[in-house]
Amino acid sequence: MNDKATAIVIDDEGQIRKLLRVVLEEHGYDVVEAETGKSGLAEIATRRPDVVLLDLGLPDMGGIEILKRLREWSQVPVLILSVREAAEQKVAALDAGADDYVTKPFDTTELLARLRAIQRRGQEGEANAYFQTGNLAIDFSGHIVTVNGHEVKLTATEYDLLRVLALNAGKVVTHSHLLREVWGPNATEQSQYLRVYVNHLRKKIELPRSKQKLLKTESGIGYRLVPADAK
Amino acid sequence: MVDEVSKSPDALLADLRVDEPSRQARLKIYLGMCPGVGKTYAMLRAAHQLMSESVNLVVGVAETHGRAEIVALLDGLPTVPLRVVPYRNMVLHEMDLDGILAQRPDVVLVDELAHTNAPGSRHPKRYQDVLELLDAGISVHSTLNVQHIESRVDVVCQITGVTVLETVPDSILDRADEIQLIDLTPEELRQRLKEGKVYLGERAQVAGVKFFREQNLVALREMALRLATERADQAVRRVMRERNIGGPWKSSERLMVAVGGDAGSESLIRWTRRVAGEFGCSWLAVYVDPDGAVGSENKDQLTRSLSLVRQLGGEVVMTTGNNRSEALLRIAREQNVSQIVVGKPAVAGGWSWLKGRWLLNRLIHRSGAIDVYVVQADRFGVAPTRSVAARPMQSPLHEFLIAALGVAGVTVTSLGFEPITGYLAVALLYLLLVVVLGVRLGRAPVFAAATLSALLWNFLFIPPQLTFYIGKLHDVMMFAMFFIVALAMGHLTGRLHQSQMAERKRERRTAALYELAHQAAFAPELDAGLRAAVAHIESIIDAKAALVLRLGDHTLDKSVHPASSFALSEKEHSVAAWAFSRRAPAGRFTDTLPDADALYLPLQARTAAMGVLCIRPPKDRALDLSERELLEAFAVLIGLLLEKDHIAAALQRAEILEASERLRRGILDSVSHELKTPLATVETGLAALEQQSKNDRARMETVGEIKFATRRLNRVISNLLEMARIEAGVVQPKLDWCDIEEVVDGAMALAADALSRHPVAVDIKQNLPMIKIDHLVIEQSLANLLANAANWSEVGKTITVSADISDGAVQIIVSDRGPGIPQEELPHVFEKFYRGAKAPSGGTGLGLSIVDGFIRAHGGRVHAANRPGGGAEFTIRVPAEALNKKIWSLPIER
Repeated sequence: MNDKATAIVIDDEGQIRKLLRVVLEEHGYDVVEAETGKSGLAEIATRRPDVVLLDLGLPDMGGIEILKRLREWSQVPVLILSVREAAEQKVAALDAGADDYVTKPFDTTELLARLRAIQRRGQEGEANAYFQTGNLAIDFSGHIVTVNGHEVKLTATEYDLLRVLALNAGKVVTHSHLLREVWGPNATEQSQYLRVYVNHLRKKIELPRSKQKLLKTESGIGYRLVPADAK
Repeated sequence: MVDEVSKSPDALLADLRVDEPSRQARLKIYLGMCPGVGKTYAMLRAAHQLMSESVNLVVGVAETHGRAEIVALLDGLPTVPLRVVPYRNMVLHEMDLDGILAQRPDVVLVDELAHTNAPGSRHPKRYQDVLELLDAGISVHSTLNVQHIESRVDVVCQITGVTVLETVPDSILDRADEIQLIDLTPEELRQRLKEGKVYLGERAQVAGVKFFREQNLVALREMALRLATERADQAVRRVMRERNIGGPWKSSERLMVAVGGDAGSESLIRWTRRVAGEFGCSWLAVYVDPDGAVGSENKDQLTRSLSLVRQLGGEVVMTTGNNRSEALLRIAREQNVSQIVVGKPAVAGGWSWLKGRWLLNRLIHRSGAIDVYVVQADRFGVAPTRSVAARPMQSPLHEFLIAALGVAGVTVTSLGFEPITGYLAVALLYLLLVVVLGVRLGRAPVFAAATLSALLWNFLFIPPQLTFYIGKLHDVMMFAMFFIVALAMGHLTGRLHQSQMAERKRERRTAALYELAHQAAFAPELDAGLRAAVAHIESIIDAKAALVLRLGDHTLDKSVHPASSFALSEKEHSVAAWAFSRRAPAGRFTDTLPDADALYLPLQARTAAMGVLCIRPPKDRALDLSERELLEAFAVLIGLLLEKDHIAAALQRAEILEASERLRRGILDSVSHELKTPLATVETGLAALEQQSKNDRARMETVGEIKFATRRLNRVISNLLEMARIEAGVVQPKLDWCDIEEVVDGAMALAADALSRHPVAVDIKQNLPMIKIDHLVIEQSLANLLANAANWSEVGKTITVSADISDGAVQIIVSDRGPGIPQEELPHVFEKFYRGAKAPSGGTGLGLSIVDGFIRAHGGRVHAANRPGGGAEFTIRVPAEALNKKIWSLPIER
């Protein structure tokens, strides 16, 4: 644990790379810079980093292409940096194996929280039998969900949905990913199911007057279970 | 189940055919056996009934003939005034077709369907006016006497001895949705006649009395009753078909009548129509063109016969071939005909009788499964028979002269040779002459030459010379052989000559079409192509040609195309416009506005008429059938050419549009990237700076100010780019199911900075259905409205968001308790860069324009208003599909 975590920043903008280095080093990362997709992939192969920050608009190869090649041999957590607003690109990147995204210009606090979230998942490897954040607690072994210590009755589908989101806590989960995990591979176009069940789930697990939303909607992309400690 | 299988394909097809014309306009015909049975009376009575049911009904024309009861019934019915038509020294009154069309009633009453319009009217016949009314979607109620029906005319003539000139085609009865029979016994009718209740017209008073004889009335009544029964029978069959009841209908039957250029054909056609009507089956008429052997006199008769076929609702098939029976059987098999109708050979004996019998025998012998009806063609003696063979064969006089000269020449030469060669060689010389003449001349001069040579040979050369007596048996045989061979040679070479002529005619036609296609299609530009087409048509047909084209807004150009060689007067243009809008030929040589100067053919392409081809032949010149056909083919060709050009132009426009949109999108993306990347660098840099100066308050404040300014710059750039996207038309909503609560939450998160000092009250009904909208577009619009509300409200004042779904639309209202919008500014708040007079600093004046642009791109509207009690209120209303409530409230189980 004394070893510093290594982050590789792949971005063609030199200034962004430099500033990211400053911010990340401040927070205890070893930073390696790469200017192109090819060199980035080479760096990942040799350095075995703990996390990768990848710009989607590289001149030599598309971000999606890099992700596809990377996922053939590595499960290293990847955070996408994107200047584009378009949701489709982010969804495509997430579906190609990225773990989360931030949109430039980004908030540093948010960036660091995302990095932590995706790194944690990378380290855990196996799922815990127990999950807790704020008022919400889930006992995966007993299928028991409690809010403020009171058990909440969830239907099987609602439980599955919550389980997938909790296992990916802090990380965005795309619509198609949720649909596939909960409803099966044939349901990926049936987004209305998802809307209905998320609505029900929120009513059951979020406290009515709480300003803090537990299940955050990422417009056009998916949902994110926001852990209470990672505001 | 068995019923399903037993339905034959024919029956199924017939089902489709019945279903197909789902027209709204209905035709109802009050049918009577003769004048005076009370059709007009019944029609007007029914009209009063309809009026009381508040049907929009007008009287187009009603013949009162001064009868008080009819006049009384007309009272209270709205009437379109008759059109006054001055004709020679008279003033005629005709139904005002355009007046009725302009008024667009639901139902119009049109009395006397068989009426002939005054010369100069749009259509020669009233029933054609009725068809136009029906096509325009106006239902028509009309009256008709049975003797006016085309297929019954000859029977009526036979019964009553009166030839009826005003007729309506049977097809209009087929078009009728309802036929109501007005029946009266002959006794009652004669009683009414005595009481003077029947109008007969001034001229027909005498004939009328004759017409109303008891036996005539009985026969006419039977005809009317039979007609009505036939109709009922058809209706029953239709019902049976619809309900899938196996029945005795014979939709698989199909009749074919062979017509020629003789008057007898007309009665054959009528007979076939009647039988087809009784069978309830389709029928067609075939004309076999024996390689152009029909003279012009026959052509007129043929044209009349064929147009009669079309009037009676039959199809016309034309084919060429020397062998009539084979051609007939070929067409019969191609057209799935089950029965062939042919005329009985003419009077027994004679050449034509032999020919007719021969044809019949061959036809019957080879027809196989097809039945052959042999019908006495001129049974009713409607028109004098003019058989083809009985008519003298026509050849110009000079051809006979040439033949005579030829014979004289050979005779003189032979007189010189005969002492040397003997009289037998002379016969060969004569034969040579007949063959040579056969190649050049018509059949009659060749026959004449053959006969003359035979006689001369006998008289001058066969011993004893200078008598017609032949002494030796072998000379008799020689003479007979010579005569037969000469005639046969003449006949064969004549036929060769004819088929050559026909071939040449066909070739000219094909060449003409090809030439036009070539010239027009390969012209460098459309105008040149059209010029070539007009010049070409004029060179082939002795007439002037003009073109009127369709404009961009799908109306007909007011003036002719520059390629035309004559201009149209306003009146002529209206004929062209009719042809264009109805996609049917009009003007001279047609049934529509035949008084026009020119013939107007629509340039019919695949989807629409692309314009009108106008053909103006010299005053005394008529166009024959083949010329008409050629012109129609030309019109189609020009139409296709125009359509091709039209499609090519549209394609080019679309390509340019697509390319420019791609370009705009690309530019926007790259501008967006270039503007945002440095901003991202600045923000990241500020974050780093913040980390480094945690302990230095002054520095922290400076960094905070820069950070605030950067965010503002970021917002402005985002707004400008968003606006550019809207204006470039690249904002296209991507619809997906959304929860309206999520959208509102998302918008509040987006506007969180602006809303940090205002409480927001959210008022959304529980359990609203999911709706299909573009989440991001609506969310951004709502965020802009929320930020706008926050900017204008004092700190701490509540902003309210409410949402509801009703009538297939989602409605979101954002209201505040700010100063509201001054009345004069209300219309301008969504304008670009418009900023309220008292606007707080820092805005671009784009926020609301973006909302407006987004919501419009989504097919909705945003609306600004002031609230009672102060403050502004913005309402977004977007049409959206809502998820069925049942699905929404399904038990939440897998």
